Amino acid sequence: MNEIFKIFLSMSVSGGLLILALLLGKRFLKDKLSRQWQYYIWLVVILRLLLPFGSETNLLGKTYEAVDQAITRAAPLPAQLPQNMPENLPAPAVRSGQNIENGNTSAEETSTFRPLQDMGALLTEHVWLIWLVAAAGLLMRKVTIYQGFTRYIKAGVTPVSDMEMLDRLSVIAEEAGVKKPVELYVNPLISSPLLTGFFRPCIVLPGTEYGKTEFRYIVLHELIHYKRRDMFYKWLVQLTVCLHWFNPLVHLMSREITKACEFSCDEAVLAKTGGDSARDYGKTLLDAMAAVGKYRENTGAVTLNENKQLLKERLGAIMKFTKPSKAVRMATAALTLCVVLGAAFVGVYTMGTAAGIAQAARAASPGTPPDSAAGEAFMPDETGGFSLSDITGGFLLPFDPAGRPTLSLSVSSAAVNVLPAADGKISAEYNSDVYAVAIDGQGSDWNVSVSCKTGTNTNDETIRLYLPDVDYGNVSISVYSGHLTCGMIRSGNIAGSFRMASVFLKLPEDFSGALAATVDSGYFQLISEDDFRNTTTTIIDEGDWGEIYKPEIFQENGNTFTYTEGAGANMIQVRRKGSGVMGIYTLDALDSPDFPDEWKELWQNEGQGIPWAEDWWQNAWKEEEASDSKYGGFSSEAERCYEAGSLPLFQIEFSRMDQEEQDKWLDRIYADNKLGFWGTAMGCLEEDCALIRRYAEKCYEDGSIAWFSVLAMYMSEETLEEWLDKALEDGNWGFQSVLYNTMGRGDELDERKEKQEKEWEEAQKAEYEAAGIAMDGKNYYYQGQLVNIFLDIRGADKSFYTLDMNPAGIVNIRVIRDENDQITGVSYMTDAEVTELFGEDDREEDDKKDDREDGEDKDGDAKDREHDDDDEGEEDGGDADDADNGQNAGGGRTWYPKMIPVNLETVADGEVVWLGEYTLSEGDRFWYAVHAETGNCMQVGFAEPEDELLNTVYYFVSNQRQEGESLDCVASMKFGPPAKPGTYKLFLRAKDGDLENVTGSISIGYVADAF
Amino acid sequence: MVQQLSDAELEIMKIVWGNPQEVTLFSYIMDGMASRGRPCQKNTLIVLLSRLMNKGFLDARKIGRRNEYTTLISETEYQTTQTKNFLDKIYEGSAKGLVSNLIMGDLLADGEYEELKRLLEKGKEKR
Repeated sequence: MNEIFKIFLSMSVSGGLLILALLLGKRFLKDKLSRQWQYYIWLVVILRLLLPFGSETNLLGKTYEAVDQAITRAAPLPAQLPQNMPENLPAPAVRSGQNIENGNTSAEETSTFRPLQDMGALLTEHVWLIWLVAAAGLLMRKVTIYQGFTRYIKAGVTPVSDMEMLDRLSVIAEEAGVKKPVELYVNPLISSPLLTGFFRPCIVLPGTEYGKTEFRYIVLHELIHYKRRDMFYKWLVQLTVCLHWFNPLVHLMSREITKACEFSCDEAVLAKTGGDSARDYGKTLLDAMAAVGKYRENTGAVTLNENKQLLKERLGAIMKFTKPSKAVRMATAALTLCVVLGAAFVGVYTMGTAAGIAQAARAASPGTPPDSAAGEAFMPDETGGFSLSDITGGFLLPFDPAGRPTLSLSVSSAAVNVLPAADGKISAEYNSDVYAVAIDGQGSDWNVSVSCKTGTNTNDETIRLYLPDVDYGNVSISVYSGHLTCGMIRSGNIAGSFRMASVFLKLPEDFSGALAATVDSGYFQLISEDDFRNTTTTIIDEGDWGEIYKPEIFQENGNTFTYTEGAGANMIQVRRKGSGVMGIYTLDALDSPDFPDEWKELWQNEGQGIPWAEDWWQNAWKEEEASDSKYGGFSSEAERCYEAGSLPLFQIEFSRMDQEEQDKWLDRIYADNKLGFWGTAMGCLEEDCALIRRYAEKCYEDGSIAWFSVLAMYMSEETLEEWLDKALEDGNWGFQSVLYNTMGRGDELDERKEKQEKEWEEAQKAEYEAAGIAMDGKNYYYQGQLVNIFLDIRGADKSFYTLDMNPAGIVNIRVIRDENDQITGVSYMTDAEVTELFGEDDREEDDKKDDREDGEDKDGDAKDREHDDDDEGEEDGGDADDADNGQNAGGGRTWYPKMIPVNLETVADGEVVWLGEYTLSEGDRFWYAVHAETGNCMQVGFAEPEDELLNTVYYFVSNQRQEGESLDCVASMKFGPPAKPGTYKLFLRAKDGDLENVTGSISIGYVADAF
Repeated sequence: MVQQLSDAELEIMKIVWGNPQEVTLFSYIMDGMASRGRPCQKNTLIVLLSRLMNKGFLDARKIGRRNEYTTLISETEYQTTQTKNFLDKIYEGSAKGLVSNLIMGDLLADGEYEELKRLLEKGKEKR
């Protein structure tokens, strides 16, 4: 146990050193660094204080060896020291551990003779116990104080019931990004507003008499505490203080953190509200201060103010608030690294002295490199930038970038071509009217940023950026909505972040280093000139729409593709996100600019036959005035992509447009019925943005389910929830199903649907029974007689009908309904009515088949089927209703029926059986009712007489065998556009396996006026 | 014991009580508030509903991500206890005091007076 204490002691000392360093640094840099940083940097120290990690060679380990030996010598048994002396020299670290053991056993042996020394030995031996008891006691005390405090608070609270105040709170919570509902209480016993609750935020105010702004500041302040999980931080600090109770520096740190917490919170509030609100905010603090100190509120809870001295400082800081400049951000990043490395380097006394424990400690927090990673993970992203380790998840780099120049290149809304510089200096040729190019630091830390000055970037001129042709250290390249060609970096750790961009990256022959790139939508092409030699390459596909082209040498494992050649010293890791196409090529596969065939193919498929243009990727960025554009106001580039049907290029164009233009495009896409573009365009929009909201309304009103379903993918959970509520309310099944599926709750829908259907069936049964029709399964009885034909038409447009037939029945009835769809009576059908329904002679044969049809066609399924075949190209389930349907067409028209019996013993797989030629005219009807005993797919339809290969088929039905069901082809359709009147051949085809015993009939109802 | 309700909470309870359906959905209450001219933020309503649950007025059944709210205390129950509270507080438990105040203070419409009278007669018979 003493060993653990020793480790702790050493952590305390090394942590103390860090604290000193930070406090010292703070003196000089206080106002320069962001308060956030000053707050979170302490986490590194806390980590240092709580976790026994450290590099193998560290400052403290060395010091400690000496100290340790001194202790061993001095305390337990000074007399035995000389024995060990010689051994100490060669490997002191290991030996000193033995010293302790030796010392202790010796102490036991001799203890009876030396009572005083014995006491001393006992004390040193059990000092850990004292430490631990004290720590536990302190921690318990803190917890009890906190509990007492919360009880005190809770005892006196009244919930705020002022709706207006609660509403304001809600708005602020949203603004602060707090998702959980926030409770608001008033407790007159407390002196200043505070926040309690680790998981359920709860703000307690001393009173309710706050002005609007004042309230906002207070609530925002508290919510930011919650949002940043300051409570947890605070308790972590408290825990550290308890464990390191003997270290005054840790207490000092605790006080510093408390301060820094408030400071940084103030900073966050001001960052949210804008710097000019500083005065108001300061005043709020002062007001809150007016009544102070009714209870010791310090432990655990986060309060708006702590004490007067602190307040003074805070007020000072608030008035000085400025957003940190770039230079400061860079300095901050460097400083963070220093502190983190310092933490690792100061180290702990562990290694060697007590090997077993050291191992345990190392297992708890693994070796050196992750140390810094762990530290970084806690760091807020001050720079807003990204690093290689962000992307790679911290994989080890092939070489040490130290001593090489670093380069950071960021491109947004611009086209850049990177070329080697002749003079070894960074320079750029560009049109300064359009672009802004900033080049920083010609020494060894280069920073280039390219952006577009004008709001509407047209990429009309490619920027030539010249970079020195040297070995680079860390290179970070980010391209957003732009184009970049680069093939000159021979060595370096390249971190790439590409979004909505087209990037052509070439790793030259003998490239050494690493590439980690995240490609979020757009085009990305990577060519390894030496064919990935000596490289470990990993491609991860996390994208949705799009594809990755890669050499066949890559091994596939789920969405990850890997290839390792040689020792694999170089690293390539590419991650695809969003939608877009990526090409990974060896030099053989791609003699640039000869694009691979598959790519060309894709182009042609997408472009619907537009020929491949060899240099499209160079031309794509040159603006051409497309005066012949038939849509005024559309960007010609987008126009061209749209016309060419190239989704990815269109997406890039679309993402560059302003909202107004995007709106226009969406309108057009919607009108043109191009769902593919719709999805592509949506990919560029922000979740829940105004455009999505607008079109969601439109699609909902229009009943465009497919379109809506795309929009739904870009809505937040809350919005989906709202839509779902609406769809549920409106009883809109289609939208419900889309919404449930989008939210991954398809099961719920099925349940609901089943339930609803059951209810509907029961209601239906009851309704019929009231009218004197009894139902028994599929059989209907009217006045005790089994019904042959049962017909029930309802709905305002008569679109909804139940038609059921039972050949065993004896009466034909039809249900009569009034305009409100209430059953007013039941009548027997006249022969004329029956004829109208079916035609004359073929009825009996037909019946046998027809009753296989879904008896109760409550979803209007047959009707839908009919429609789908009528309007070809309409997506399935589209609720596009037109009034014209089977029943209406029945009104007043007569058909002359022609029945074609089907009786085939076998139809071999793939065989087409012709069933005669028929002259058809508009309005003719067909009924397919064919049944096959075996086989998995049967197709029935019409084709033009010369079309032996069935290239174009009409009124085509393809039936797939459903598990446990027979193969039936049952359909009812009406002849009309786009099929032109004329002669057609009827055919039946076996598509999947031989069809046997194909029986049934196909009926054609010739419309009367055709004769 | 039935707890006191704040105005806002009572407003919500009235909506829930007024719902002919067995269970009430969040959106129903949200709309209800809006149609009563008291539109409120989502968070506000969540907070108020959770308070009502704590007070034992409502019970929520979680179905997926939706809450279905059911009342645990009926409107009459609430009215009775509230009236009793009121009586105790103002009239020291004397209903007579209340009724006489209603009559003397001209707080009753004509029809109401007759109806009250009838109710009294009926109540007498019951006893």
